[in-house]
Amino acid sequence: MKEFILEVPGDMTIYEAAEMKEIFEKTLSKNDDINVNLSNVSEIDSSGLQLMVSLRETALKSKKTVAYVAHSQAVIDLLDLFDMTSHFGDPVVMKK
Amino acid sequence: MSDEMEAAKQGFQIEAEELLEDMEEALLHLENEPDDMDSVNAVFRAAHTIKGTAGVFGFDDVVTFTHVAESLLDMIRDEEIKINNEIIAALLQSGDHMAALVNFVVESDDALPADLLKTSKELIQVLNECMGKSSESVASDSEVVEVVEQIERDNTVGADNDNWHISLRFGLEVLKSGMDPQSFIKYLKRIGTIVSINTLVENIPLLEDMDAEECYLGFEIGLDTEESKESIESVFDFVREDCQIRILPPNSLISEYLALIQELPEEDTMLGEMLVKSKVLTAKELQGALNAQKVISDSGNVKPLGEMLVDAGVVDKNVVEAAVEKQQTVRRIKKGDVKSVRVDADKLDALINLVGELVIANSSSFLLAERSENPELMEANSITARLVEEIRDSALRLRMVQIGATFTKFQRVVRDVSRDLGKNIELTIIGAETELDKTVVEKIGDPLMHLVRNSMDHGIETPEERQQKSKSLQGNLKLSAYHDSGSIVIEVTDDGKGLDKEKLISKALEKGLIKENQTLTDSEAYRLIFEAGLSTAKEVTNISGRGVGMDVVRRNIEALRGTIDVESEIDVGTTISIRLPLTLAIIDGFLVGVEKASYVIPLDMVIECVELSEEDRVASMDRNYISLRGEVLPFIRLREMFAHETDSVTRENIVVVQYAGRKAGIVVDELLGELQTVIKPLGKIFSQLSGISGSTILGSGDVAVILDVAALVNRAANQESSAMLTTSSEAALQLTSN
Amino acid sequence: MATILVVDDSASLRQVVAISLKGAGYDVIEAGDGQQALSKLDGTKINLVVSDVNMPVMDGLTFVTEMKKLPKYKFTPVIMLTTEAGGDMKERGKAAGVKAWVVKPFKPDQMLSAVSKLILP
Repeated sequence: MKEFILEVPGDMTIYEAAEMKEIFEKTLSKNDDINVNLSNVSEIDSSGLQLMVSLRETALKSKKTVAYVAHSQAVIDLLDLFDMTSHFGDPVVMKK
Repeated sequence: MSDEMEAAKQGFQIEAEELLEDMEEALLHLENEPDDMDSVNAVFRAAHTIKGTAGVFGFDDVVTFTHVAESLLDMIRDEEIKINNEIIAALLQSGDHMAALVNFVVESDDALPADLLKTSKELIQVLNECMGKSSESVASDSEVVEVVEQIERDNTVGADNDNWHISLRFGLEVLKSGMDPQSFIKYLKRIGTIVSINTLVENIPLLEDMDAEECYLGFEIGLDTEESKESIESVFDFVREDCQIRILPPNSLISEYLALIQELPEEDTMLGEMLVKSKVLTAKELQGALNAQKVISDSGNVKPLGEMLVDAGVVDKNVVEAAVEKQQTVRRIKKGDVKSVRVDADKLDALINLVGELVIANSSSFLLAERSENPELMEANSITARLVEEIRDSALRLRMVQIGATFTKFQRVVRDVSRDLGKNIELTIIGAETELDKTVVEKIGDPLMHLVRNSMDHGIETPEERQQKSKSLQGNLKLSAYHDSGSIVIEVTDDGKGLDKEKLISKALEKGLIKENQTLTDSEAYRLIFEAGLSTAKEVTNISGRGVGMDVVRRNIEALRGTIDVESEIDVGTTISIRLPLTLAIIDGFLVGVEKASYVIPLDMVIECVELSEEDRVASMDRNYISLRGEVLPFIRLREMFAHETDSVTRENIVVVQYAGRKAGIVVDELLGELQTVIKPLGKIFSQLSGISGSTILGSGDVAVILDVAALVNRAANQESSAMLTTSSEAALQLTSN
Repeated sequence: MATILVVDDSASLRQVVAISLKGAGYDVIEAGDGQQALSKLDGTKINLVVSDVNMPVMDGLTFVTEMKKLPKYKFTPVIMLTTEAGGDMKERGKAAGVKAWVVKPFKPDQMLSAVSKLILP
């Protein structure tokens, strides 16, 4: 099946969490191969990270694939802080 | 930065002053109604707020002292202690002392001087006695908070590492209350180095089972830091209740790690591996420990794990906290929800000044409009004029304050002084809401104080005397204020022995203040008490009766363009009424001219105006008095005083003024009529000048000097050196030519 | 930059707290009571609220309860200033969604460290 690119429109904080979850669920129900573009995420908190983990786990369970791409600096910083860069197995491009 | 800090300190000083006034008021109220919980709360709140704000500034001396008073108040609020007069007295003194402390610490960075320290110590002892404590049992805040670290470190059986181990399991609600685990971890990075961090994501549910606003995260962290256990714990102060937090110091007993592993929800081996990864345990230590644990549990001899943690000395800080944070709800006293803005008095003065000039500017444009005979322009001008007047009135109202605060201060004075005098005196306040100009309020305090003390000292009798006269034992002193036709009247009334007219007259005769066969009305006779050197007190007490004072009172009142009056009846009492203008900013003046210069004489001091007859003029050239209807009238020639160039005019007028019972004449060229005008204070350079009290701008745009009649009358009477005259005349010329 | 709303009826206390927070790189907005504080919630991003409990017009807990009703501010963390960290007050605070308490009197440094645990500038 065709690769779907989901662009996260903006921040991934507690304020957006409920809405993001719905978007993730909907996207996952319609696609098997998802690339999540994180370039617009200028702010992310633990709730955003939890969603990233959950989306990936949920996809794996139903044999679908989720890859995170174009990590914004905010995402890179959080993954770095939590030492989770390797968790997702996605190539994270360090920006200059 | 330090300017801001300085400003904040000043702000604190003002706040504290206001709070302490409230506190005093409430305490005095409690003397009569000890059960009034609202007042207790008001007092508590004052102490409480001062302590809180002082703490932020680091004014520890204020905090320490106020804390003791607050503790006492807390016990009163909790009804553990019943309030009585001793406690009120102690708290009143404490309020005074707080004010002294605040004033000192705001103004100086030095250590407290010995006297303040001594008072602090003495009062703390008194307050403690009120609480039924001996002085030894007092603990200041800082002593309470100190926690001794009790972590056992056993180097022989300890794990071989230098890192703290922190286990965190965040509660579900954490994110919703706005806390983000990442901020705590970022903060840990500030106090040390995170050697290892494992983020536990296993508990995050699948999307369909997930509440995206709940928190499912856990962390195992190895931290290298010099901080104490307490300060690491304090990082998690705000989430402690919702989270599982375990902190193990470096080189902890292996059994403690074991306890940790067992207590956490995850699989033992997984956690153990994490600990190894966190470099807090070596693989060998872990293996050994797990084996040992197995042996113990096999033998059925397992110590409860929680107990093991406690044994290991993991201090529960909550116990300490509870001691410090025992205080309870303060009910806020809503004083009618007065909304106000604090404005700098100088800014207000500047505004009023400008409005004054606006009034003048407007009257000049009104004149021009009239001259133009253009009806539309005149109409427009009169509308503007009305509005400008309204603006002026509202601007002046801005500076109006209620006299209540001034009156309330006397509660304390009456209480203290009557105690000193062994009299029982009650103060009644009427018309506290009456408003008058702030500048008047500021100046009325001292004269009032004198009158109040005088009434208490000489007016109101001792309880014994009152009993003999079959009066109520308690004397009454009444302060009242009301508005009366553009003035404010303040009365000090006592129900004491009244003034003895005969005694006053004989004393005045003795002092040569009146003549032998002079007949005086009652009012004139009573007013003798305001003459210098006349005191009817048989004995001089330390409160009043030194013979100075009452004349000073009168002078102060007159300086405010006020008048003072006395009514009295033997054994019924005395009323002293002070009548003051509502504002000092506007004056009803009488405009006079010398050559081209204009001068303003305050109208209320003008008695009459007479044209100076030719013969008087000739006679007055070489002497400084004329005979006015047979009376000797000393005078001053403004022309000479302000050194006007030309020295002869064809006609002169004399304005007869009176100040403090003395008359004098002011000789001028022209009488220009009455006017109402706004006083502009003189700048600093002119502050040394005598004879001038201010200036004003006339509708024509010219400056007019407002004469200080009091000074002129004195000068006319004395006719002293001319040196000062020259100085003032030069300055006056500069002023008029501006 | 993180913005902090400081709510206390003592202007001088607010001033000192503001000086110290600004010095550490935070943006500070001040309000003298709960009502004033609510009026500051006009869409401006506020990362943290530091509020006194006892204030005239509207007390701190009422303010926080009202704030949490606003979608844009419902997850804003709150540090409550109080000497009354006793049971009753904390229970009421909990109901209003308050987790963080700082006991008065505090030193500016203590406030700064409390704030930085929740949010860095």
